[in-house]
Amino acid sequence: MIIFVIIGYTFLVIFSFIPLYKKKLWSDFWVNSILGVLSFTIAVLISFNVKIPSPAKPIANLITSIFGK
Amino acid sequence: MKKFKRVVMSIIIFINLLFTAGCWNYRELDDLAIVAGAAIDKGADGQYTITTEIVEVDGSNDTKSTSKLVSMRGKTILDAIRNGISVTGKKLYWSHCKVAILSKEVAEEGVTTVLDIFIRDAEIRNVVNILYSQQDTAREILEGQQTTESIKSFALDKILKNETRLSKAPKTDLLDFSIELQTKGTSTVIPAVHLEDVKGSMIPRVAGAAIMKNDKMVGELGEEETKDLLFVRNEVKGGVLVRDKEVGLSAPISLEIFGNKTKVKPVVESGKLKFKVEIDATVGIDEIEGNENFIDDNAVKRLEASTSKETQKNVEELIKKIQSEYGTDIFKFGEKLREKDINKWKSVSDKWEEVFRNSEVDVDARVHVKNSALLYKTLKKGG
Amino acid sequence: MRKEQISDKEAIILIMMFIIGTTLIVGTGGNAKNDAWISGILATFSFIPLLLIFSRLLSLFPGKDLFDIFSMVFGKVPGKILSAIYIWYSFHLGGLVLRNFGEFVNVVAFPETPLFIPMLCLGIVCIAAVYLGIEVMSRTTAIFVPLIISIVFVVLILGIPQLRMDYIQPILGNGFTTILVGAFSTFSFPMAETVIFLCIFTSLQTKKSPKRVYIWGTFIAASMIIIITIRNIAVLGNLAGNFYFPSYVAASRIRVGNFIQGVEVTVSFVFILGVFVKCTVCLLAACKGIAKVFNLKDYRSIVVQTGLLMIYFSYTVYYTIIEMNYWINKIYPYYAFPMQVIIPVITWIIAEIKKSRQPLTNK
Repeated sequence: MIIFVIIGYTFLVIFSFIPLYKKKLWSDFWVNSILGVLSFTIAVLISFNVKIPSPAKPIANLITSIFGK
Repeated sequence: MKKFKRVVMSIIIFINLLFTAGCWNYRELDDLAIVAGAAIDKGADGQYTITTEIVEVDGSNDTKSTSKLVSMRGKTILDAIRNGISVTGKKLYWSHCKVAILSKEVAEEGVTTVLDIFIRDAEIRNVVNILYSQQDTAREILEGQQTTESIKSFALDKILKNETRLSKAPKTDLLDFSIELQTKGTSTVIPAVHLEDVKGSMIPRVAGAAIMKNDKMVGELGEEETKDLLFVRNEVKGGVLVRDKEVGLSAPISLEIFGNKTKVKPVVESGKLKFKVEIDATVGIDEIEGNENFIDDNAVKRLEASTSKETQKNVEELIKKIQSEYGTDIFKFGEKLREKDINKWKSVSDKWEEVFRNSEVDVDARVHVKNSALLYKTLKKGG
Repeated sequence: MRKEQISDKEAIILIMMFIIGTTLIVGTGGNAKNDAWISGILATFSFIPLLLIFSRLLSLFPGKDLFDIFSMVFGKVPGKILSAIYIWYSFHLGGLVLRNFGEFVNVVAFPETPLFIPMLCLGIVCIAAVYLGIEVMSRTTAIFVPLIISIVFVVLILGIPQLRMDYIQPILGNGFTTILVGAFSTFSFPMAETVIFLCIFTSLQTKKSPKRVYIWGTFIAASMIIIITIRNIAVLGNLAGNFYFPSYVAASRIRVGNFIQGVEVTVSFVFILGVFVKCTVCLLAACKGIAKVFNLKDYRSIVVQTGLLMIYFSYTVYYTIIEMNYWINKIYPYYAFPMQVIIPVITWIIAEIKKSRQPLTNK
């Protein structure tokens, strides 16, 4: 699993990060890299079967505390 | 760079071929055991025994399909089904399952516990017909002799499909059954099947019905009673009415039913609930076992009147019997009341059984003779 | 860069597919039982004022999307905060839709394949579509729509023998409050979800087209949903609310002779295309929002990463389909209400006031 993730992200780096770097679009590059690091982390966590906290539960608790039921 | 891109793209496409060609979890036909029908029994130790009829496709010169019975046991239905792997070595494939036969014990204990898997599982289509076995076990039905079809479950499915031309058994598939089960106040009936001894070979025959209360079997109906029941439920599409001397005819006459329309009207008269059942059947004279002529107008009228009266009497008797003996609303009166007068229904729905037992039912049957088939005059000996 | 433009017809088709997309399969207004179709009609009518507000917002600021409108109406910092809320909402909605699709495939077709695989496959298609832009998206949809509509109607006609109109009765039998609750859930899912289109309809042709597009798209989609709801109730009776995918079960009842059976597969086809459209629109909106907030040159540079995040998010958001269904039915209408109704209405009121004082100059 982890091998697939790493291969996939290598392709992404080649095809989406390097062109941005070359074109010197700095804000694009940085936003993209932050998102990329985030998604890479999550992908690695998923591939190791780590349970990632979901926002569904807190939102549900919030709504039920406001409206009852 | 461009060349590099091209190489990468072709690698991706080839990888895609591996994953998306549908070969990931493929199942070959000869690895599957196609289930045509299942019979569910419950043993004394509380374990379920499921007998499945498995289609075997023989692929030699001309394709022939035969069937084989496999029994398996388990604590629950799914447990038993999966235990089948340890018997057959194949995973059972349920998409073509057409009938589920329940034994007497299972039906008396409660049907929902058994049928939940059938409606929940995505592999089983909900057109599975439910049958009630009048034999000791449900397995015996599948062990019976084959008649027209080589696979008995498919034969049973065909029987039930064409049963509308006979009206001697209700047709209840899984979805109808669940809907009726979930409707408050209504009780369902499921068709019954038994083995009939025809010159030494035991042949399954579908006739009659089992009365369910909530989801437990409480009684059985005979063939003719079932027909009367279907008249009330407006499910008669065909069939034969045999009228004999007891209604004042000189010879037995068979009338073929061409169409029927039954209206059930709930009426509230001075606080008391009353149901008006109006049966309107169209029949044709198809057989006269005598030499009476019915060509003149009077005779037809007499025939219509006597047949109507007989039908009316039978239906009334059936309703009385059900009301006093079982108190189960298999006629869908409650549903009709709910459709027509929701407020009244809400006020009586909690004690519906009692209300149903005590409610008055007014049956009005009208039978119209449409034609007398090919013959204008009845054949006469030495006429 | 060349300015993208889509015709009104294509925009109508987009909105239509967006609305019917998942609803056609998941069903709507389950709380109202056999009056769910009345809920549908009610929801459609109550959506009309909101629809006029949406289209008014678009025609007040031609060529601007919701994120521009926020910063023009509320100023820079509040505008960015509101934009962030909408980015989250469209991201979340896209994830939910994708998850819905994954569960459908998993339950109905491939129970043994990991949930992640179908979601990844469709997600990648969505990423590609967003990368190519709204023109490609809408034209792809326009190619498939005749097929979709004919499938829906053929299945409907084939299903006529299965209908039992008795199940519709008694009308209004469960009281009016259940209908209102059903109408509210139909209103928030799927009708008012079209708020997402405010973020992407910068490429309509004229100033009048938003109104036309919204009205026609909603009208066609709503009538289809109502017809399908009636069909589902008439086939499944009081069981309609028990299934996760009522339309699928209703279509599986169809049996014409011995040769037309198992047409439920075609229903999945409709579902897949609907999910595709919905997911792409949400992803496009999220990407455009992020690009606007961080002043990026082009939203395309972040599509891949956002799309992948959306796929992972949809995979981790619920543990089971049971939790998902509870969330959709009980929590979602309240959760989405601020984004769907409150913020657009406030924005519209302030925009109208500002506009009447001094005409906003377009940069």
